[in-house]
Amino acid sequence: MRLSVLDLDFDTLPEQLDQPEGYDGAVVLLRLDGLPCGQAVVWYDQYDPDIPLARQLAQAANSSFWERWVAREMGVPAAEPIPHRQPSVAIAICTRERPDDLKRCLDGLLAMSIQPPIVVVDNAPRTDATRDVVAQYPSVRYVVEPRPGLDYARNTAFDQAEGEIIAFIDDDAVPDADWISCLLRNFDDPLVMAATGLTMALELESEAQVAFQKLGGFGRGFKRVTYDAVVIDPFDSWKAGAGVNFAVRRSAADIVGRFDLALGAGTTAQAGDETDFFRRLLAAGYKIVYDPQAMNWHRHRRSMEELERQIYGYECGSFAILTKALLFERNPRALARIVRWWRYQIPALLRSARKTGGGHLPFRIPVVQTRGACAGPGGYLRARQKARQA
Amino acid sequence: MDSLPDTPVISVIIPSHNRQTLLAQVLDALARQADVTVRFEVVVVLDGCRDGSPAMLAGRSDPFPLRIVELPGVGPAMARNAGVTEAAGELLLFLDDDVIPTEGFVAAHAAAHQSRPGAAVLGAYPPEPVASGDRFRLDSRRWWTAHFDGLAARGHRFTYCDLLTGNLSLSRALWEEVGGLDSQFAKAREDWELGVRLMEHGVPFIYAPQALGWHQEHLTTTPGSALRRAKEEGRSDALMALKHPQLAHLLAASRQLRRPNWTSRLRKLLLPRLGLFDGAVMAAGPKMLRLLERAGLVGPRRWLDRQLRLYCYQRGSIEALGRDFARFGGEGTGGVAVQPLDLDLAQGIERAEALLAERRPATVRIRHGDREIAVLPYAPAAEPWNAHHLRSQLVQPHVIRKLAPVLAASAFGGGVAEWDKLAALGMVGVTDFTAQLHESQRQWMRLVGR
Repeated sequence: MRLSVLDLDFDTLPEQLDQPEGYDGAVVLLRLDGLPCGQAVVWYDQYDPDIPLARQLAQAANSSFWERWVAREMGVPAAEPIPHRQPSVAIAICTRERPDDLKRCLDGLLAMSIQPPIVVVDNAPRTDATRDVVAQYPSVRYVVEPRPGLDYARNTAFDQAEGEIIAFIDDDAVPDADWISCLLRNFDDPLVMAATGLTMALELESEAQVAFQKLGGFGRGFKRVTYDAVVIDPFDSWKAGAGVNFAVRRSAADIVGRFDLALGAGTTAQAGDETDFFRRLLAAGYKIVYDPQAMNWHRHRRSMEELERQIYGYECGSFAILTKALLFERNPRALARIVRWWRYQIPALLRSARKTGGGHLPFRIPVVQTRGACAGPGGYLRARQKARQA
Repeated sequence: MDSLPDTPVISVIIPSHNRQTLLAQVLDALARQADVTVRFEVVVVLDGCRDGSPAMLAGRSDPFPLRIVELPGVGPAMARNAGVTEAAGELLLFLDDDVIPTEGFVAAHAAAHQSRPGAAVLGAYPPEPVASGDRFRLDSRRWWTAHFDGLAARGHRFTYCDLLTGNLSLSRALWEEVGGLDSQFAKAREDWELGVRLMEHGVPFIYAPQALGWHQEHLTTTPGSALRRAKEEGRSDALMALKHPQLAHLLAASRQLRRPNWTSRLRKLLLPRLGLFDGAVMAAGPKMLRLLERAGLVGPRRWLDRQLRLYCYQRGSIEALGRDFARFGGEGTGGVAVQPLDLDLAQGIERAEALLAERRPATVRIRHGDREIAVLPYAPAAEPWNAHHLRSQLVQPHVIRKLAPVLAASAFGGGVAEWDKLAALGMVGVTDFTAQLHESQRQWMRLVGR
């Protein structure tokens, strides 16, 4: 299955949707007055070119679109914050051997409405490809972090990037024109230590990409939410945002410490770096604002093997964090979380075992998750030891 | 304002009880704005202070006239009344001893009165941004933040509950007209009770976010003090229901005891006999909460917290009611028959606004043609509805669900009934992560909303 990804302003819609050969439908980002406000999924076999596009999109749109659309019809201005001051900011991209993606990301960054300084942290490079790409952009700084691991790179970004706020974007993502200004507007409240944004699929060209997006992708909804330890359990901090799209105050590192070197891509714990950082911020009483208008586009993994590894990695990282909290922070809440996880996971495993065929995925999600979860504790302990030795 | 050159325009009245250090900080902050702002004086009412506050005040030399009243510990309501008696200004500005004013604080109050004479000006005192992962602190901070966010929200309709005396100013004439604070409400709710009388006098409330003080609640409220406060609130709410029966149905004290279930009957039976345990509950409660929090038991902690507050609150109500307890809440269901104003949005929103501004109704029924969209409810001791309230009411989630199909039918064609069926409308106003995830997954299924 393949779907087109469209970015349409509701006020300047085309007459009709193109229906390119080989595509089943389209995921449409809907904008009102230029700002992202919702999405619609349109299937071409149900699409009728004779009915006005606006009507068909409205029928397929989600609730956030309706909230904003009715408000606009009633002349109620958007409730987005207007910051009193603009903090200084730097953008950091942690990358490893993805020169083509990186180039697209840098092009996107340089096309944004404001232009903060950019640092590319090349993590344990094997070739000169990244260096060569960055060399084409004189305004972009290039830094090498020889120790492998995403959090080494993130912490290097803390050292190297200048600014009160550091915004992180993945090398395989492309920012929207207002990405950084929308992230920055959330920092007026000194208790807001991080802001996160919405990440949409850049392309849905393969079964794996569609499957990932269907499962939820990086989606955290289209509504602005301020998270603190009352709104969500700090262990659920991943709900507040993902590593592909967030900004933090530099001072956060002084308060709750830096990114844990034993977590994240490139370690045996696989993932969990920003989740753990967010968790510590929430647990210390700080807030994280999820602002969906701070939007970027991410190229999801194209193959099913990569998708499987990603699902495995998320669960592994999540149990790495629980292990850390239980053993090294003596947080009894971690135990309750582990028990709860199994309470949901065992029935899910049983359900998936009973099902034949397993849908359109070549693997069973609950099984992969369980394997990841079981690998989490050991992965974390090994990564921790390795980080100690380094 | 006509005043002699040497009489102060504003009297800042600060009741204080054993908070020497904070009080000094409040006065320092006021001193910093003495020469750049309107002329003001400060009246400090030391109410049962045994911490050296009098000596601290005696040692100060401030750039404003400072008067001191000493009382034996009569509670903040009477302390504020006593402060007014001593004050010379035409404007009375009540400030709590744990609210540290920011630059331009006094001037902002003065400016608000100049732009709207005769109003009650509600200043802002959100919690000082000090982070704490402690549950009690988080909850307490949320209450305060939500209160001021509510006041700042577009189209906010003021009610008596918006009036707090921690940062409030009004003219002396108004104060005397409504009769100041009622000393019955010695330790809690004296502000709401004043709010009721101001609202019933038709006094406009205005919110002045520039008149900002940082509330040091992280230093002055504790789980123990919250329980003592809950008891005082129970006591005052019961008295309030007696004094203002039109509010009785809104007050938790009477509502909870009137429920026709066995727990409520049991409470009615037992609570009057449990007085001996109050001290023990208030002493042990915070320790048990702490224990549950350490064990990571968030749910049980929340439950216990609610039960403790409820216990203290109801004990307070019962102590206040005495013999009246048995028949309390028997009469008055709050059902007030007020004829609603009928608004038809089909005739245009501007026309609806003009009608609201002209009629200032207590309750409104909003239609779009034949379809009922919303009811703006009657509320006792609240502002009447006005033009500026309308649009923000129309974007409340439950109203959007009714309104969107009408607007969609006229914008995109199709019948209203067809748009009524949209699944997305049921999710309007929902921000929960999981609910939104399911919404997006439903979008991926074919035939959504058709």
